[in-house]
Amino acid sequence: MSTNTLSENNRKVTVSRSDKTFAGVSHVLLVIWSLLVVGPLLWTLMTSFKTTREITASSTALPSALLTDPETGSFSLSYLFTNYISAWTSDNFGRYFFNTFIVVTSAMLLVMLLGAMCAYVLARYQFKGSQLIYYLMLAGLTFPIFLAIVPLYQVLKSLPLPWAPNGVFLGTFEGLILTYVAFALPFTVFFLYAFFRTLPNEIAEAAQVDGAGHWTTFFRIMLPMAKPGLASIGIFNFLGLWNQLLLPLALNTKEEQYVLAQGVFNFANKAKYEVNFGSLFAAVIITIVPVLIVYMIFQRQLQGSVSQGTMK
Amino acid sequence: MTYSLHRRGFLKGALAAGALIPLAACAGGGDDPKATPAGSEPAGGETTTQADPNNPFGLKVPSDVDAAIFNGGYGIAYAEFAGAMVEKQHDGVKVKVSKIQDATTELQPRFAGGDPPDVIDNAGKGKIGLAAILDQLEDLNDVIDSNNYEGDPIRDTLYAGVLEPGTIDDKLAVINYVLTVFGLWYSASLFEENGWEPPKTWDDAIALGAKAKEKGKYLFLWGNEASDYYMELAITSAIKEGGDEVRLALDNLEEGCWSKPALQAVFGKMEEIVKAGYVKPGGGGTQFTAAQAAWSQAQEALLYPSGAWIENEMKSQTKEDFKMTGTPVPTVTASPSKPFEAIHSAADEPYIVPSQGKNVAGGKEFMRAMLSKEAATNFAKEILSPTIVKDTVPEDGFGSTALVSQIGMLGAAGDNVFTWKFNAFYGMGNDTVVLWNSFLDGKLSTAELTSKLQEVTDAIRNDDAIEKFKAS
Amino acid sequence: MQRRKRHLSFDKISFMVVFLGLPLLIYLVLVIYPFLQAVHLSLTNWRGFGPISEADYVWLDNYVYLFTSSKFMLALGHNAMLAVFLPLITIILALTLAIVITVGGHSHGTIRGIRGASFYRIVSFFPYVIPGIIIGLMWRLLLDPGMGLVNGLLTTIGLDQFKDFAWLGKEETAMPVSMLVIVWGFVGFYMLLFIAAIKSIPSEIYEAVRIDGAGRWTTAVRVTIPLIRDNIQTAYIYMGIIALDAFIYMVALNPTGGPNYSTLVMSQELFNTAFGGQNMWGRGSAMGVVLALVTLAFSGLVFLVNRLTGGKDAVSY
Repeated sequence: MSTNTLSENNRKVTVSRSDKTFAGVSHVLLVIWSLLVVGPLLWTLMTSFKTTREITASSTALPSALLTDPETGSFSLSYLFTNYISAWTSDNFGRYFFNTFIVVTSAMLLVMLLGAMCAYVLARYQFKGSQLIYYLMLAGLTFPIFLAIVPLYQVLKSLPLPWAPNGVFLGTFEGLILTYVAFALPFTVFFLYAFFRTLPNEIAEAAQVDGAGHWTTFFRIMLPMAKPGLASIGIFNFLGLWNQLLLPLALNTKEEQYVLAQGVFNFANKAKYEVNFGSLFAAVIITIVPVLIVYMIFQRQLQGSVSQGTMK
Repeated sequence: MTYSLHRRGFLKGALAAGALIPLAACAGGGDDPKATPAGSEPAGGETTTQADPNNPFGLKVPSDVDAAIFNGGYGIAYAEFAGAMVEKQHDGVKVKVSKIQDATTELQPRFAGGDPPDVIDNAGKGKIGLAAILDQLEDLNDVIDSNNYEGDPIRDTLYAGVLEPGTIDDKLAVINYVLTVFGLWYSASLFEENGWEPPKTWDDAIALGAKAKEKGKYLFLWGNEASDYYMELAITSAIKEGGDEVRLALDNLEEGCWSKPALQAVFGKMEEIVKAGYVKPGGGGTQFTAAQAAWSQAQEALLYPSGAWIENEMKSQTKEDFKMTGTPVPTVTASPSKPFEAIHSAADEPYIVPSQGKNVAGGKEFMRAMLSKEAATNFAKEILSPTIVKDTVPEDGFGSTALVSQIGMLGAAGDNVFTWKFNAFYGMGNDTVVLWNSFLDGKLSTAELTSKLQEVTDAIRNDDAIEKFKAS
Repeated sequence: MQRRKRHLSFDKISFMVVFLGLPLLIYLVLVIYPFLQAVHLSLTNWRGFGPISEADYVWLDNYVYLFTSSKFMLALGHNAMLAVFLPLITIILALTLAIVITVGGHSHGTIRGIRGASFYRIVSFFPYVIPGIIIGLMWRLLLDPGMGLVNGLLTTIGLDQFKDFAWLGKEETAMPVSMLVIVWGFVGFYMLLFIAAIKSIPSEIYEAVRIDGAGRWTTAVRVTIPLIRDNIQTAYIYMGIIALDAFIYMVALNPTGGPNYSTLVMSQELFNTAFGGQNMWGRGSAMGVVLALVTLAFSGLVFLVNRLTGGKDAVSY
């Protein structure tokens, strides 16, 4: 369907009074909302440049201690990133960052491939039990994750992985990735199922008439056609997995293998200990910024594909 | 099943006396180490004989020891220090010290899966409830009966009574490593400046509250997760007032235990303080370290009830020249059952060795190193807190006013040191925290607090699924 | 649909095995099996540390306990309340913003969005990319009575009654404020979804409505909302599932369950039961099973309501 849909571009047209009022009210509403969104984020950013002492002293005061040379008392930029340096190095967030990147990227790519395959079969092949499988997948969306943790642990412990130190999936990135894939699968299938159903039949049929097999049809024709859908589910999975907390908390217990959300959680929960709020805020920024960047780069794609996907 | 916890005069006088005064290491008896050979066959590796005092548990060489240490207030460096001592002692043994943050979440699957670590520091908010794992733990009496790395029998180097809380039916299931002193903490410099005295009775405290108000300050403040520090304060004060029967009633989950006159008197005084507006409002909505900073940095309140870890916890958020000092908690009357100097002190930081561990001997060897004087002194010096090992703190307290006052409080208390464990043992933390938040917020009266605490106690007593211990 | 020759070729067999078998295997082993195991555990008195085989069967005792436990019922009530209000508030807000952004331009000629639409759209989505645990931690500090930004701003503009006001520490405000924090985190996502849906409505429809002289309000209520009702249904289900869990937000905002347990939710009570205190894994598992059943029932109910009121059965996104 490529009818003329609403567009965001503005052409010069004479504007009526009621339009002006409506636009004015709309802008006020949107500005307030934007401030509500951006305000806390900017505050977090600002706070990450304050010392723990400054943070607990006042929430609204601007950073100053890290902008001052402690020896001369004059303005200096060389200490500005103290919190970031300590979060990145001594609090290990640098390492967590790379761990997260590896685990999330691999899991995302894998779940997109497997999810697309599964959704494609369910959406476009009719066979006994296909509805059952679909609903089984949907049911997975409603399960509380931590209920599965102990049995999951035992499953991972009994699944052999020859090259791992213990010979099993447990305690390895592979194990965590596979678990991420399994838990991201329902939503991915759910999303792509609807997407594959909307794709026109004609091209696939033409290809099959030309003698293309099932494999070829999928990889050569259907998958490329599903690109927009894959892009948005890819972004959703990236965000969702980047933010995953409960699974790593229980399954990924080696400190050197921590992921970011887990690192922040544990850092914030250190009881009976000097809590370095400065580093905590820096760690929060370190965790948020990559996902924000990914979102900014792909937001157009996300917007486009969501709208394409909803056209039925 | 009922477990009985023997309490043969926990923390006897020796503790107080011995805290500063070096005792001649009493190198008398000391049984031969009841060495238990580690679980299975020596698989190729060299095994030293059982009788070897340098290897009392038959630690296999080479082997790996998996130590899971709570990464909280004390960090894990002190455990790595002990791990290095084991490695030095037994060439070829590798001790892997890993951090845990929430013991239950992180280790529960490992227990269920049959591969727990060899030794665990089961501390922190997420510690594993003892009742749930008791039958899966090694008896650590053989560790205590062995010699430390300096060659002295470990049993002789410990403060008296420190093993009692971890002893259940003669089995030493837990070694609590750190000695914690509880009290009211204040800024000695602020008090001196204003000519204030730390309160000895609750009436003193109320009078001090009025003086604080004049200065635009509060007497107390609290934070959400730590509201039950005020329960610790109340129970300590009530035990001082009413004697051990209060403690026993609570520990044994007696009917009507919260209605004991001593507890009621303390609750009443605390309610008076809340009603008078001497408690900083809003604690229920404040993250606890943020609340504590309002005491240690902004000095919005005068007193804070806590364990001695507070100094370390607030290190970077304490006003310069604060001079953090501890004092025993106030009593109701001027002539209580136990003297004002009586304190709540407990060995904490519970170490356990699971029987299912791959290297049980390694876990025990790790504990032997931890209990050696070298490791214990290192702990006291780095953490500024005493361990259960005697004679590790010099007179200047390594420069810490809080450590000096802990030792002072222990010394003044003499025999009058006590502790209890019902809330920790039964995992009542969350329920009591919610109630104390409401009470400190003025939302619950003494009568309501009492009946709701009693409901919590009664629910546990009446739940047959929960095993009980018996205090005496 | 596949209409080609029916005979089974290697191509077809290998295709089905790999395409359906592999994902399904992973899913069955790592998701379905653990949950079945959890159902099994809910019938036992397993305490979480010993071998499961040594636990005793107590059959339905754990379930009986739940329905007599006032704390669990309280938590269930809170979840029910969240499942009603969270989707409602989020969807109304998201829909309003989406409509304003897409049709906020002037009413002559073709419909167009408001100036700066893409800016608002991008910014609104920001909270969705932030980990839930961080949203919780961040707002807890923002709402801190003394050092928090919220009270700082309120007192600056002269509202002195909010000095030291404990938003999360008062029974009256803890739950509403926690809900608003969750709403804050999700509005942007649903706004994006609704914008996409609205944009896919053919503009001819709008133009026809306009020629008939319908105002903006009428257009929104009579045209826009009915045309995207399936998207609204989907949003309701997603948001409802979030409301029925809500674990991470609630734990970060009110680690102890809120003043007088006013923000305690089932998942939190489950966590405390299984992992905290007494490690009652059997009981905790029973709570999880109830939670999963409630969630399934909720989704079914939303489908049913939508269908009875004339919507389609299909789920769209």
